[in-house]
Amino acid sequence: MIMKKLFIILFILCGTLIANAQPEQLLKQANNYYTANDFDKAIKAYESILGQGLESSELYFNLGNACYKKGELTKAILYYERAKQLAPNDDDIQFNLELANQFVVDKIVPLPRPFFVKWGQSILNMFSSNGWATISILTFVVMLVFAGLFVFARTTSLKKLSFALGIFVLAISLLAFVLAGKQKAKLARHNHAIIFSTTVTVKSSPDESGTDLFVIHEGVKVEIKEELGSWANIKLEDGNAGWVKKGTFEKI
Amino acid sequence: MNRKLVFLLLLLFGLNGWADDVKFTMSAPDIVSTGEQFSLTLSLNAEGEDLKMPDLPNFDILMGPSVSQSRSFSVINGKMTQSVNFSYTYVLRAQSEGTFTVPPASVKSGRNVYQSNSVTIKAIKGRQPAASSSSSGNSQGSSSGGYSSQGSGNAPTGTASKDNLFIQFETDKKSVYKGEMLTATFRLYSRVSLSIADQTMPSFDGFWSQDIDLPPADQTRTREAVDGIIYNVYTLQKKILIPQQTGTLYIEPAEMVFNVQQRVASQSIFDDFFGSVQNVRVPVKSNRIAINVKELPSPPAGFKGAVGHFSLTSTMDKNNIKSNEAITIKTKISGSGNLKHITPINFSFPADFEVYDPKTEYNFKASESGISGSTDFEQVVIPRFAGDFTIPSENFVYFDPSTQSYKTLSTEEFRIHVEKGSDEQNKTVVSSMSKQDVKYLGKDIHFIKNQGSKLKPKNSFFFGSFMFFLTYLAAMLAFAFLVFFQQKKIRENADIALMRNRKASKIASERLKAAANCVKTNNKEEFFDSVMRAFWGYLSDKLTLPVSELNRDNARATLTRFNVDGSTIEEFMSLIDTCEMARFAPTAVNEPINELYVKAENLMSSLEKQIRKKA
Repeated sequence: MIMKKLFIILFILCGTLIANAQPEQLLKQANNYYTANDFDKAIKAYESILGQGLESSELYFNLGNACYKKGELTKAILYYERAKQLAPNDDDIQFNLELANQFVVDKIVPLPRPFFVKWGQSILNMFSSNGWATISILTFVVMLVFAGLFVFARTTSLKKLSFALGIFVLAISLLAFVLAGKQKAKLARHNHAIIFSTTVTVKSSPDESGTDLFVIHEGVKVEIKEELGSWANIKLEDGNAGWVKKGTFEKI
Repeated sequence: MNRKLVFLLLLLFGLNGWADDVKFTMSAPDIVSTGEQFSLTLSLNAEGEDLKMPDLPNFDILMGPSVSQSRSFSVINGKMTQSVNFSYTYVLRAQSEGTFTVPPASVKSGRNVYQSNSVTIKAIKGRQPAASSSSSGNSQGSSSGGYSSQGSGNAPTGTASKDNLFIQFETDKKSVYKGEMLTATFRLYSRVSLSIADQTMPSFDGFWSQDIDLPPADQTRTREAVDGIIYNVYTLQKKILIPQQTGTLYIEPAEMVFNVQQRVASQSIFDDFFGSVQNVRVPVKSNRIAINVKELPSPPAGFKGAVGHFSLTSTMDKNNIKSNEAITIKTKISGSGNLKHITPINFSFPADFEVYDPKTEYNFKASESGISGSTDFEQVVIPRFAGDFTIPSENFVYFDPSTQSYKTLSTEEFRIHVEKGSDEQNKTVVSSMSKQDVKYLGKDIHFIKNQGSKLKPKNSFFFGSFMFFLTYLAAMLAFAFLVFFQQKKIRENADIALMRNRKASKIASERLKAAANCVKTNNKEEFFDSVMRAFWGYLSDKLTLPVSELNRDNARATLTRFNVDGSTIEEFMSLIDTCEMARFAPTAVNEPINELYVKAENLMSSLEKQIRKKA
């Protein structure tokens, strides 16, 4: 009972922190513009919400859609990627991102990864940071329930069972805690970017005189390994790496 | 019957007579120069007599009329035909410049008198009047593709200079729209006798070209004065040209090589007499013509390059069919223009229709007036499913150069009613079901999300936030609180049990005392009741079990657990039995209650001893 009340109080607290009627109205307005095929106005409205320092995966998704419809595919890709970071397991976002990526000139075949890395990634991407954090807390509470059962159980079999379950749930809680941390770190690092310049020549060193390695075009997703002065060391999904000027890309 | 036959025969003969209709024609060159000798010929395809020539006041008759006649007989499949040709030739000379009309002449043939046509002759001032001429009757259009000029004022054997021989392209228009037709005529101007040795025609880059048959007017030689010199003019070729690109296009010069007969300077009188003539190869180049091709004014949607004047009909052979039967849609675009370049009309068929590529058929003729006829499209479609369908009307846009505007024609809107076909549906045995993939008509992004999670500040994470850890802490605190309270309660409960344990013997002895009182008053019912209460209460307090949960079975089990002697338990059980029996059937108990009281007192003290030892 006490636990429940505590949660209700927590939720109300969170709610009051977030609740802000005005941006919600703006979002609705923007969605209406989109439905009426007025993409310019929709983009403006979505961006003004972003300008207030607010975000959500749906906001990025809808903004991506509006950009796509206007033909600004690189921007659409950027927003879809941002939406995907907030909701890593959303089918709609994945679908539209793939569709937008078909317009990217460069065909980049990702390096094959070992199966356990793939599994690990897919488990990690099942939920966002907040999702994992909530799971961690919920499983922790369940663990406490089992602990209580263990303490107050009269029979030894019930004690054993509750102990085993408690340990299992605790393990899940710890895992969720770690994954929530990882997801947050991934988002906070901002180490992925979308190329925004039409064509970019990738150099072998952070210098104009460096050897030209290869050319990539707008819309390509790159990983930023290192930044040095006005240069950044990028790595493509196929493993190729090199230096490009800052300003040719937009961080996700 | 007979009458009819006779009539028929007469008719046939009559037709026969029509076939050899008598024609009397007069011919003379259109243009002559003064002082030039020329011939005026009257020809009659029958025997003639009594030629009456009109007065020719402007011409000198140098000779004539000379009469020549030819007859020919031919027998084909036993049928004999006879043809006669009479011709009267005058050799004339124009006296002065001007345009003169020779009025009709008349001739008598058989019983009739025939009138000829009249001719108009234009006489121009002749340059270099003829010194010597080798007039050679009417030797027009000699054999083997060669062209020989009629003896004209100038020597036919003159030098092959530009004055004597040139070739030229002429076009009917110099400025056209892209796709608009123009006619190019290729002519040879000559004053010498010659034959073609070699010819190279230009490639007409930038044009689509089509040779056309020479119209009758161009098949014969004409005479034309250019800069006061009379040339024999032959039309060599006529072409329809359709420009395919804009800008200035050129018709490049054609190159021809002629064999020209040239008189060699006479060496002897024999040469002079027989005429020593030599063939000289003369290369000639034609002119270069620039055609200005204008871009069409801003074309409307649906314009695909058709230029000309067209009409459109579209038909569908059936509009009430069964599924899997074919429908043919025919579209006919007729008129004149670039029919070769008309693309098929793109109908938008329902997605379920099986559509075959349209078949294109060109039925046009290239003539002097341009390309006219029709382009037919035939498209076969097969509806695969039953239903009512509509094929919407489609537009055909063309540019009309005469009005310089775009015009739109529309096909009909077709409505088709398709019934279920009988071929498959009536079969009782289905050998295999053919499943169809869903047809994807297009691909688009998924629609926006209208509801979802709430907006939150950027880079705000639940994980690692104060609230996050507070939740953990709160959960743990709540748990600790719960455990603490539970433990405390247990402890308190345990204290109550201890008290009750301590007070158990006291309460039991008090209850036994009450029983003792009952012994004195000999109140049996009261006695048994207090004994029972004393024992059950004692057990309940001692063993921390509620009285309501106690019965004989668990009392025995609990006592055994507390290591109470078997005999003592038996004694307790029999006492309980006796008391319970006495309560429900007081008469069944024979033992005096004072003895029972002693028994109960002993039992209580022995229980007290044994349980306390354990506790």
